Amino acid sequence: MEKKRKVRRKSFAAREDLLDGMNEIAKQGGLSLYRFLNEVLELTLRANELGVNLGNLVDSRELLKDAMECGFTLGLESLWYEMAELAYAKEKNKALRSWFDAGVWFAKRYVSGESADPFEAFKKDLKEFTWNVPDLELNEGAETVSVRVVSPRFTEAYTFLFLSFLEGALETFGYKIDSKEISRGIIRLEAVRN
Amino acid sequence: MSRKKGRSLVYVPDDIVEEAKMVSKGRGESLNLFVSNVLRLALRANSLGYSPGTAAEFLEIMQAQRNLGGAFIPADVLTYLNGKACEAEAEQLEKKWYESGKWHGKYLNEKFEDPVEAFKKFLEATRWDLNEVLVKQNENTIKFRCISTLLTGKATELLAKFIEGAMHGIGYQTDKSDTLKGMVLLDFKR
Repeated sequence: MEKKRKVRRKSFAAREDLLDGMNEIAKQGGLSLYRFLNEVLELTLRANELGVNLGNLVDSRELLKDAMECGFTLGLESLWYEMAELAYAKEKNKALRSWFDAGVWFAKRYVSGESADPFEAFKKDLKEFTWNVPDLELNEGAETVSVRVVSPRFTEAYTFLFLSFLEGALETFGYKIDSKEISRGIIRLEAVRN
Repeated sequence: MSRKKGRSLVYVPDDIVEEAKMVSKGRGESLNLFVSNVLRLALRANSLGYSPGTAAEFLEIMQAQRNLGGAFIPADVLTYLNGKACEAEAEQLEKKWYESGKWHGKYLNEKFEDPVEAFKKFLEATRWDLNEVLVKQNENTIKFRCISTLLTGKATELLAKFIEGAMHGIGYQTDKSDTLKGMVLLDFKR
């Protein structure tokens, strides 16, 4: 009979409450704490090899869950731009309306929610859902909001459609657009409270 | 596991500890801090319904998605774009979904050992409008089945084009194609 190869083991100290939690999960999955811990550590090392922080992984999962709940779909950026171009060229006003309504719907979720600071929650989620936009700033003053979006990959049509989305959202928060400067890939907005 | 003053000793294989030491050193963290952070994250991942195994798969899919240029779009806008907005350009739209899928497939083929499985996982992780994604792999054939109660007829056709593009990018040819509203049935062969 083949002799079982002995795996060399080392010990390290960890916080007891965390290990108790791990023990619970391991039990639920029918695993020993030893095996479960090894899986977790292997995952961390694999993440490290890929140049990804494990924290980002958990954040990504939360982001996807939030995006789903907020009515967003994930796909290829280039495809969205091409489709937006087609729709904008065909029926500009209807396309703009569609994005405006989506902005209203998105913002309504925060306005009618129970967050202590709905605008801050909206801003945080919007920034997360627009991970492809390198520069998105929303600053809320006492009676004003200023927005700056810079995204070199935006097409002209997509810039105007995204602007429409922002306008819908800001109007839902009770702001009126006071001034705007738009060019392909760049949006600057100033809004004042109604 | 032995316990002392709120801390416990756990045993893990030597090689993992050595590698973990190197990683923690590279990050300027002590091994203990590194391990505590990992355990905390594992508990958080568990609360989101992820085991370490599924988290590892998800990690690679999400990383690939970011590399591919993934972006979020409001679902209602996508429904609008898939439907009336591009009605007259149906052929062009199908071509765009197909090309986008093909590019996706080529990327997965380069990046993953089992690109078909990776593509299935990508659909499961990102297309929450799909109730079921079923892939049956035989020696030289693959059966793809997607079911959704939310997709419109047009959106189903475009999803089918995207899947076909991806599978062609991976190196398969369409053998049979059947789409109904909310249902994509595709057979591929090498």
